[in-house]
Amino acid sequence: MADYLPPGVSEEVMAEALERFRQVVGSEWVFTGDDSIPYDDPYPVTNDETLYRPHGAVAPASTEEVQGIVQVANEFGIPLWPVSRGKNFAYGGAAPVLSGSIVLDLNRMNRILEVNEDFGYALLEPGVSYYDLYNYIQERGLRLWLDVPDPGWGSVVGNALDHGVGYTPYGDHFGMQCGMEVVLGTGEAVRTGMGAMPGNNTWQLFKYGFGPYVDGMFSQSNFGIVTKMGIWLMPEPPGYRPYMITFEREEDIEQVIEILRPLKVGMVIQNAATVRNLVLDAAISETKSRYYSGDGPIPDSVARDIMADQEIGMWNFCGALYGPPPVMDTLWTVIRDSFSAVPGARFYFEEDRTRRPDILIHRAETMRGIPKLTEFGFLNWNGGGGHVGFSPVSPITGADAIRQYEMVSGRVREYGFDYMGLMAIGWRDLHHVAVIVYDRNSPDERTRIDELFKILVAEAAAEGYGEYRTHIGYMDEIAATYNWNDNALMKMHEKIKDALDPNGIVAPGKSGIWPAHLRNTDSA
Amino acid sequence: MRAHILAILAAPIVALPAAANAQEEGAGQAAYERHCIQCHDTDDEAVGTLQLGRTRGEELALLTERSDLTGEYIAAIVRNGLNAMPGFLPSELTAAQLDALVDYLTAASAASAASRATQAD
Ligand SMILES: Cc1cc2nc3c(=O)[nH]c(=O)nc-3n(C[C@H](O)[C@H](O)[C@H](O)COP(=O)(O)OP(=O)(O)OC[C@H]3O[C@@H](n4cnc5c(N)ncnc54)[C@H](O)[C@@H]3O)c2cc1C
Ligand code: HEC
Repeated sequence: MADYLPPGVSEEVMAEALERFRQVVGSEWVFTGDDSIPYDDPYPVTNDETLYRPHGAVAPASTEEVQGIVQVANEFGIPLWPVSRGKNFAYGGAAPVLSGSIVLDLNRMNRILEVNEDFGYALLEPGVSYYDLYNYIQERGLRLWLDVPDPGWGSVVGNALDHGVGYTPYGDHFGMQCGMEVVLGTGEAVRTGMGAMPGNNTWQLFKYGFGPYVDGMFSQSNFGIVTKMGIWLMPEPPGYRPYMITFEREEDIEQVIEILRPLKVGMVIQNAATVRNLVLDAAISETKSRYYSGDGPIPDSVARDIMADQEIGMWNFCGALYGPPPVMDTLWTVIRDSFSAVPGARFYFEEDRTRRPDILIHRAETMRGIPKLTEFGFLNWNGGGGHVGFSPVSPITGADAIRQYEMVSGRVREYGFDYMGLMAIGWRDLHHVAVIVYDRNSPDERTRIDELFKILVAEAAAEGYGEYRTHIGYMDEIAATYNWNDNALMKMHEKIKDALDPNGIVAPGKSGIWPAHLRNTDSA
Repeated sequence: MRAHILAILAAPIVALPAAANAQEEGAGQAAYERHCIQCHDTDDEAVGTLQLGRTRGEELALLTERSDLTGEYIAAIVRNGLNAMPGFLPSELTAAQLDALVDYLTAASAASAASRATQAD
């Protein structure tokens, strides 16, 4: 394996820095050469093997060790790419934007510092996974539920920092964050919100503290390294009833989303509900070859076969009711009556589903916060395992939903892939997450994916849609679409970057933000 | 502690190179249950088992029942990943834990190889 070096850093300087990192964390926690292979992106979207390649990784066990590493990095000009669990698959995994970076792997900082049942919160280090926190809560019989993204092995902190989403009423993960400890690019440790006041006992209870509210500045950013974070947890509800409503026609998405908006904004639909398309749901348990052996996307007749085989719709809305039974009954009446307006809508509870594995049985666990890895199943649709997410945000309107769907599915199919996607409904917005599954071993498919992705970004921006999150390969492209008033926001980011991380060592290129010495160069 | 003492006592008598170390055996199983079981178990949502069943055949679907995989191959897959399966970082699954995991998964393989060797003699 070739050793990649960051711009301006010689082999000798890197060797010296690595030696100093070893002194900080112990030599067994610095990984280079073949040991750093797992830090590469498993689902690459480029054929250029020199891109997004770490030089190695260093794994500290405490905030003090993080500070020690940051000090050495400043001294030698070594870029660090912080990850919590490093499982940001479909967005780059643990791999950095800038080749030659050292991955700052926080897996060993995995202490659950506090779980408070009365107030419903946890204070965590970044290496704590959803599985870890779930097991901790189960072992102690605490009456708290998690909100999980589909892969349960990710970090509660890392997922929230990248604006990840889940599927209970607490599905907006960064929205549920409360208080953090951050090591800035200078090496200084800062506690935000109430945490800034010594002896205060509301760090995880009140977000804003006094003065400017800065926590958001450390999400999807490269201004600092988060070493502790508070997250609110949902009290176990007195009742839980997951349901699925299926719709038969592609064009139904317009009416479905129109019906959803008032229900969601009015909190009749309580959770971060999702409307998922046929192929995405079908691919959880079956592969394409079971239904279709031709090239390119599946034709409509095959879609109908799949619908019949798996007893699902062209669109499937999975939601859940939470609360005392009479409350759930009342909410359900409103939801059922509202969606009955869509011709062909079908309504299911878990007991109505007989096939195994089944999408509602599976989603029912996710919507009550049980960590799983089942959704990796859809990566096997074509057998090649690659997956990249294209995730534009729009208002929750039928017109936007159908326009997005037509734009994205049209292009995806034109490039020979099946459209797989979901519309995740937030408090006021709709995240359209189109997952493009491809053969990670095929150079041709990688080329097509890359071309397709860039077209999708540009076409979405032309219609006023921006992405909420992206793969390391497209951060500059997407940042460039947020350019109102002559890039005023990026200019502000750059000023903050220069102030908090003057040597530009934290995650160069994250979210399109580059340190001064790398701005306007080829890599920027 | 108890397992540790037993292992020390047993070592000179049994004198197996694999050290028949109960502690390591426990570590291998623990690593399997922490990192692999979700995708390689017998349940109908186990993504790895499902895909290996489709591509390798039902009799090769279950990782814990495979006797055809070498330790080297398993270790390489764990670090490099394979198609939908991503690789594991050395911080979450250390080199020592990976060794124990590989020993745990190849125990079946070693047993069947030994019985084949005996038959050949
Ligand atoms: C099949 C599949 C399904 C998925 N479903 C979902 C889903 O439902 N919801 C969802 O949100 N995602 C989903 N993802 C995407 C991704 O896998 C998860 O979001 C995952 O939780 C991210 O990995 P992580 O938690 O280990 O975060 P990390 O990889 O640790 O962090 C993500 C990024 O945040 C930044 N960061 C992390 N830690 C720090 C820190 N301490 N300080 C500063 N910056 C930091 C870094 O830029 C890092 O790259 C899915 C992916 C796949 C393959
Ligand atoms: C996210 C799910 C997932 C996890 C977790 C996972 N695997 Fe896998 N694994 C798979 C899939 C899917 C395949 C099939 C890949 C293919 O061939 O397309 C696979 C294949 C394999 C193979 C190849 C078998 C063969 O016949 O070639 C080995 C070995 C393996 N896994 C070992 C492990 C070990 C050991 C762990 C735990 C450290 C693990 N896996 C964790 C999903 C997973």
